[in-house]
Amino acid sequence: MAPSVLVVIQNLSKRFGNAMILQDISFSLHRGDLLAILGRSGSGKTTLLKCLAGLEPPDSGQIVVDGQDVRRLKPQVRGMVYLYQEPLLFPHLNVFENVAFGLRLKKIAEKEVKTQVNALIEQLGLADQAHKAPHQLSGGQKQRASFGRALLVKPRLLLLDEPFASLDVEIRAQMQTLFLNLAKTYHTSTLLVTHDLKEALIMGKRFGLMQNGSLKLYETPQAFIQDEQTGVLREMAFWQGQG
Amino acid sequence: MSQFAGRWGAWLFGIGAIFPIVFSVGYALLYSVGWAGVLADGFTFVHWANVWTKNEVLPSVLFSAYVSTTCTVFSWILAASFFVHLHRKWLQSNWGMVWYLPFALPAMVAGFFTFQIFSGGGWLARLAYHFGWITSPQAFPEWVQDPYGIGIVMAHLLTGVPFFLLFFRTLWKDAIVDAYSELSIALGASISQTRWRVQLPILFQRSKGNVLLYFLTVFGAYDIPLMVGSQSPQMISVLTLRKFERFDLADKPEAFIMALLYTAILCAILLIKNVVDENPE
Repeated sequence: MAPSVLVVIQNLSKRFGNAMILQDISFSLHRGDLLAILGRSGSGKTTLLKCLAGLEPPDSGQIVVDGQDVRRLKPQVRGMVYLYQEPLLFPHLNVFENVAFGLRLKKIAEKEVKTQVNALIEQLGLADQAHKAPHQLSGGQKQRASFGRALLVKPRLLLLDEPFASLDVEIRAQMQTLFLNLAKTYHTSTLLVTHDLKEALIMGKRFGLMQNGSLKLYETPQAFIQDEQTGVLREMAFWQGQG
Repeated sequence: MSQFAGRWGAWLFGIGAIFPIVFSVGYALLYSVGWAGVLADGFTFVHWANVWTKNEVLPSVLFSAYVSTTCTVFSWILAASFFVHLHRKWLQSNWGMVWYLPFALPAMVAGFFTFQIFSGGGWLARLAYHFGWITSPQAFPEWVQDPYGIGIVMAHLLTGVPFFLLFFRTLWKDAIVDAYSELSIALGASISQTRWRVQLPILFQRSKGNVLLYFLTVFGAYDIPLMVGSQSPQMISVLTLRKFERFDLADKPEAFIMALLYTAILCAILLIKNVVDENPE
């Protein structure tokens, strides 16, 4: 049975002054999907995520989640978690409390919080870091804790804004694999925006390209690769030339 | 060359900063035990014993600690509430610069204003009399030169609240509190939960050093407690100077003992802060 549609975006537009940031963006996302949108800086990727999360109001268009138009809903009840480029662990909380943040808001019983958080921290490989302050962690550890914190609130849609941009190449590769495993375990639906072609290819199940506020979606990964504008062919030609 | 300059710098620092403090503390210590000063009759603990038996110093230290704590807590809470709940955007605009103005107010003037506004013959009392709420200045509540230090606290709030407001103004941007707030909301927190669980704790964590600095400033303040403080108990700075200026020479060693106690309290507080900072867990 095909997975059901989770999010439908129709004709979403946003303007800042005279600059058109988003132009008639339309796409849909299925449950458990991971849509990777590739785009250069300033192409409107972050604004798109912020509009979906409710952190920026769109000028026009519809955002339908589970059949409900969420445009008038406050960010905290949309069930979408927007993760920044930086892990942004709360500096006054240790790793355990950072991961537990969403559960504390829901006033879940202490025993249940401990069970869920400890299990996730174990999965994240942070069991021995649980009581450390954020400034005592490495970049990769911070990012893992940040994912854990987001996944534990079981968002309907996870919005990732270049989440691995600040990590070095090796850690980035580990984090990408870890995230894909976690997303599978927690059945998370994800919208990822990135300027990194390789990252888009590794992470995405479906692909899009954002240019000057317009979004182009691809039916298949092959179509994404074959499109000259994505730069995949140029990249492949370069590496073949090196070989 | 740089080694030479460094050595000279160390000497200058020693002569200009360390030596006066060590000399003053040493002289005060010798004076307090009868080894220096006009009353130097040989080693004795009699002045130290006098200090404790007169029952002035301990109440003064406790009163100073109470006033400084109250001023610090109220200033922080008022500034944080005002900043987080009401006018953050306004404060972050250029209009927020008006909060620098209270710093142009000398402590003596702040004390004078407080006296003019809150004393029995002050503006508020006159208004209360005009509206028929009181029939004489004595009927107006004792808000200045009172035994609870209300006048001192109010005078210090005139500069304490702006001090923390301006600090928060810079801190808010540096600590990217807006980004943390957005994230908190995205994770499901309401505006109120974001204030209590994210914004205020971050402000507190990042302002601890300034909180301590402000506490120590109020603890050692002189002008305001002199103008709007009561005769008893007096804050330690006022009591110390009063003893220095008395005709009775026997009071001088006690003044030195109080200055030593004040220094010891300051050093203890800074030491504790240092230990806590080094062992955050």
